Amino acid sequence: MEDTLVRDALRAYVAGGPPMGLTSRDILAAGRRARRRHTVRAVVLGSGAAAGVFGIAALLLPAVVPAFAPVGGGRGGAPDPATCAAIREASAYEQQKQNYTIPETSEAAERVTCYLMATLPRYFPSGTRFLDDPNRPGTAALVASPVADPTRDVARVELVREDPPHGDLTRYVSASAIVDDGAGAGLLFFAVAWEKDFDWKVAEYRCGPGSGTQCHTGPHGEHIEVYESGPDRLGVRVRTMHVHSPNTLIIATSVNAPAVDGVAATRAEPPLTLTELIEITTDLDLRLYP
Amino acid sequence: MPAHAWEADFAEYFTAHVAALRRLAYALCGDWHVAEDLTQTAFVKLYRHWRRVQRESVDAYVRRILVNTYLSHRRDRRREVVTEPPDGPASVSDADNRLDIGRALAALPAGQRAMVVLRYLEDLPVREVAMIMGTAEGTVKSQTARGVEAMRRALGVSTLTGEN
Repeated sequence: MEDTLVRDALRAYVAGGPPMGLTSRDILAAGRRARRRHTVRAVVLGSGAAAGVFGIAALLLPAVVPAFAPVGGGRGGAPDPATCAAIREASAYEQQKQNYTIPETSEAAERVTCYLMATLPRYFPSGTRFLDDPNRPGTAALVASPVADPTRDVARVELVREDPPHGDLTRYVSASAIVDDGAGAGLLFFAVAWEKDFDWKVAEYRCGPGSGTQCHTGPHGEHIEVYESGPDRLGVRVRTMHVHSPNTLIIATSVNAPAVDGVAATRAEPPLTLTELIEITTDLDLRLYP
Repeated sequence: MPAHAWEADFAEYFTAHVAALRRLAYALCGDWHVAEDLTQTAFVKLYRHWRRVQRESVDAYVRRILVNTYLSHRRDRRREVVTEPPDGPASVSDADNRLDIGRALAALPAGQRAMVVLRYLEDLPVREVAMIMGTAEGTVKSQTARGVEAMRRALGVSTLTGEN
C-alpha cells in the first residue's frame, strides 16, 4: 500500500462531519472555570484538612512552627542517624552489579530522606525553615514516601509539561517541603524512580531545535532536561529538571512560591538555582539504581 | 470576550486550529461527538498552559495533549464507538469507504492507531511522531508499518488502492 493512498483514505475519512459545536467564547469560559476549579482545589486540598491549615498558618506565623531538625530529630517519620548509616550506599549496589539487586521502595524512600535532610541545609543560611508542604497532607517536610501515581505527583508541581515523564517508572518515591530562608517561601520537590528502558535517542529529539528544552550532560554522563517557566501573572517561576542515568530518574523542582498554581510568588527567585539543582541531582548518593 | 491580550492570542489560535484538531480527534476515536469532547478538553488544558508554552511548539504541544487525552479516555472507558458515518452529502460508495476505514482504524491498538493517524493524516515526520508519542523512531516505523498492513488486510486492497 502506498503512503499517498493511506493519506488520501484518512483524509476522506475525516472529511465532512457535523457543524462545529465549539466556539472560542465557550473554550475561554471553560478554561477560566477549569483554572478556578484548580485553584480552589489546591486551596481546599492545602487548607481544608487540619494539616493544610497548619501549613498555611506556618507560612503566616513562622515563629509558631519549628523548623525541622535535620536527620535525627525524630520528627514526622524522619529516619534516625542509625537508620541512615545502615542504609547501603549507592556504590554498594554498583559493586553488586553481577547480582544486581534493586532497593525496595521503603529503603529507597529512607535513602532519599536521609540524603535530602543531610544535604539541603547546606544550601541555605542557618535559620532556614523547612516546613511541611500543605499540598501533601500527611507527609513531613523532606520525608520521602512511595507514590502510586507518578504522573499525577509530578504534574502537581510541574506546569511546564502536560505529558508524564517518559519511560517505565517503578519504585517511585518523592518528597517536598516549603522552604523559608528569610527571602520568602518557596517549594522544593524531589522524586527518584527506577527507570527502565529510558530511550536516549528520544531524549535527543526532546532537546532539538525549537523544543524549548534546555539539555545538559551531568558530570557522570547524566542526561539532564531543564524546564523553566514564568513568571506568570502571580509572579510564579517554576524551575524543574529531569535527570536520567541508565536506571534512575531524578526529578527536582524549585518554585518561588509555596505552590505552582493559584498562589502568588513570595520571593523573586526559586530557592535553588539551576547550578545547585544540578549539583544535588547528580550526586551519586542520590542515584539509587546505578 | 477575551479579558487579556494573551486570551485574545489564545482565541485566535483556537479559531485557526480547532477544525484540524477535531479532525485529528475524530480519526483517533471514530466518533464526532467524542472528538469534540476530546478537542474541548485539549484546548481547555492548553488554555491553562498557554502563557508557558513557546509559540513555535504549540502545535506539537496541543497534539500531544490531544493524543494523551485520547489514550486516557480509552483507558478510562474501555470502549469505543467504532465509527459513525459523517453527516452531509456523500455518495454510497464514499460512505461505505469511510465506514470501512473507520472500522479498520478502530481495530488497531490505540497507540498504533495514534501513530498511523499522526504519520499519515497529519503528515508528520517519524521524528515528530516519536516526540509526541514519547517513543523511539524505530517504534514509530514498525508500529505504523504494522498498522497500515493491518488496515490493508482489514480493507482488502480495494479501498486503499482505489480498486472497486
